[in-house]
Amino acid sequence: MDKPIDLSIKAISLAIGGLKILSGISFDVYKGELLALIGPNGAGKTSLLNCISGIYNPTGGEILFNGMDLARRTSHEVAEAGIARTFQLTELFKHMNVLQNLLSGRHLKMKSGLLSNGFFWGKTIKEEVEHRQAVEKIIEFLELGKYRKTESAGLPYGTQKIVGLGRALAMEPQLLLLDEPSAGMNRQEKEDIARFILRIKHEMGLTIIWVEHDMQLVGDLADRIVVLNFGTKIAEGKPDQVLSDPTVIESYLGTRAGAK
Amino acid sequence: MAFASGYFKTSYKADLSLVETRTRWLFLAILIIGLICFPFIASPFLLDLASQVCLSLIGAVALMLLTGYAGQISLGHAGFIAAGAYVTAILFKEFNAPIWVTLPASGLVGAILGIIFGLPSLRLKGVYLALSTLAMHFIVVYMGAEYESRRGFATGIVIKPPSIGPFIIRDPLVWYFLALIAAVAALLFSINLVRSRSGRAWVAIRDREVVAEAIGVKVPLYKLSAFVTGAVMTSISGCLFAYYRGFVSVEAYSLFLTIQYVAMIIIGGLGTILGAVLGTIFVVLLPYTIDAVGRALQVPARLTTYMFAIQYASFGLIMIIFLVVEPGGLVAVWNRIRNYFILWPFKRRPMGR
Repeated sequence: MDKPIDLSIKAISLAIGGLKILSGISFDVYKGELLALIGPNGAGKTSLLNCISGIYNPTGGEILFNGMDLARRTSHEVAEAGIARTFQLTELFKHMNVLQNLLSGRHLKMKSGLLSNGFFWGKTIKEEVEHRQAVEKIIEFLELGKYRKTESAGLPYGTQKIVGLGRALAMEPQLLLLDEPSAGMNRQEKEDIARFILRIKHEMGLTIIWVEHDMQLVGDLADRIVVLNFGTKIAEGKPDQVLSDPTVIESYLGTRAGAK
Repeated sequence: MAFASGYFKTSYKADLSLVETRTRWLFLAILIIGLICFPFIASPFLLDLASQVCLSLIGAVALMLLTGYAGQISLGHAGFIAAGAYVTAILFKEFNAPIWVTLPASGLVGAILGIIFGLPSLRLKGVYLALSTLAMHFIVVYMGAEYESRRGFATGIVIKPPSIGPFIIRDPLVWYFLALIAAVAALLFSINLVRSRSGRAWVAIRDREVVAEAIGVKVPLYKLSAFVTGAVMTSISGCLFAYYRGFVSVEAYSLFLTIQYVAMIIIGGLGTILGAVLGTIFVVLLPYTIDAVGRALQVPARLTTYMFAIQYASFGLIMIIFLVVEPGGLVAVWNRIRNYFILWPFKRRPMGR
């Protein structure tokens, strides 16, 4: 590949207690690509995302992003570096409405301090209005208009996941980590999310690492695929080539009875 | 907030305004006129109650920020109040310091205590954090008692009424307006905090700490800032209370005072500023209501000695009733009543907030 590298994962290992979760995973993510990370349950996909986003600190290896090693960073340092993520179980702030959830994603872009906030001086008002405008663009982009002031805890699950995506987009990241955005969604919602992912890639030009279980979506949308199984990388490459790889098929579907 | 239909906003700035419709301006105006006229009609007893409500409100809204918004449980609230009161008393006794010295000094000591006793919150959660803040309460009260006995003020410290220039604040009427202004300032400050960047960061920490950090919130910094904000406001209320009562003594800062403040925010409704207001009014008036009821029922004289115990018990009972029956507190009750009247004669609950 001749494209510039955005994120480089070098020999990442993770052990929690005596349990080896990831061992020696390496791959590169190129600028502006949609990289799908797949593998059976327990393969270590979410753990790898947690390593990148600083929630876990890997026991070995490096994660290079803009010349910075993310492997030993805390998650707010990773956020400051320009990486945003969504969560498998939405993890919205349940006492906030949709608008406040999205505005909370603007935390790093905002600069006002406690005293300025408390007195609601011109600076704070200006900032609130400016960032409201930025957030409104995301609301429009993700078609969340009618939920603007609805408490997030009361939203349908699929909509909550879209709000979670919106909160990540509000951070204006360079790299977006999506943890199973389509899990628990019906066909219609999956098509919506597929459309959003493609638009984020093409219109916003973000690099995306996308953990996904729906092989049809992955085959249709991903630029490249990395396959994990039991904490190791077993395949990497173009979708058609990876999805027809016998080791990948075996790890997902097992072998035919009596085939051996 | 629920609206009757036909009201539209045309700018994002309009969406930030606190008073949104003409009807609400009207209600606010009536409220303000009522609050200004109140002391001229009320009896001295009612005026004293109103001043107490206003001064308590500062501490209650501070605890609401700390516990109701930032989610940090504190059982040291009486400690912060005591700190403000003792700083005032000591500065007055030792250096004859005027109010414009003692008030900021109380805030400063509150801030320092807030940082020191906010530090455990970086490691501890829930009950463990509550216990470490409880320790703070005992340390402050112990130091206060120690000062009292060493300097020979064993029965308590008497403080002269504060004066600004030649003007001595002694009249209950002046105190009422002073307390009212302080309470309104504390309320506005808190409302502004919770609707902007800092407040969102606090709620994010309360709801999901890991995610708050992942969106870039410096969790330790914001936990400490919640403690400092709460402690400063509470210590200042402690200073004002000391001047208002004219007397500082350890007995006033028992654990029961903390429980009263916790009761205010729980009965009022956690996570709402209005809840702090309703809860404070309720809790401050409750003992007097129980007294009044007792007198109305003509409780035999030999039972009146139990009145204090009855007050204690009724706090616990009412808190349990609220937690079981209406966890949203008085605010939830208030919202139900308001929505009923907004939609009357229809029955459907309004959508949205």
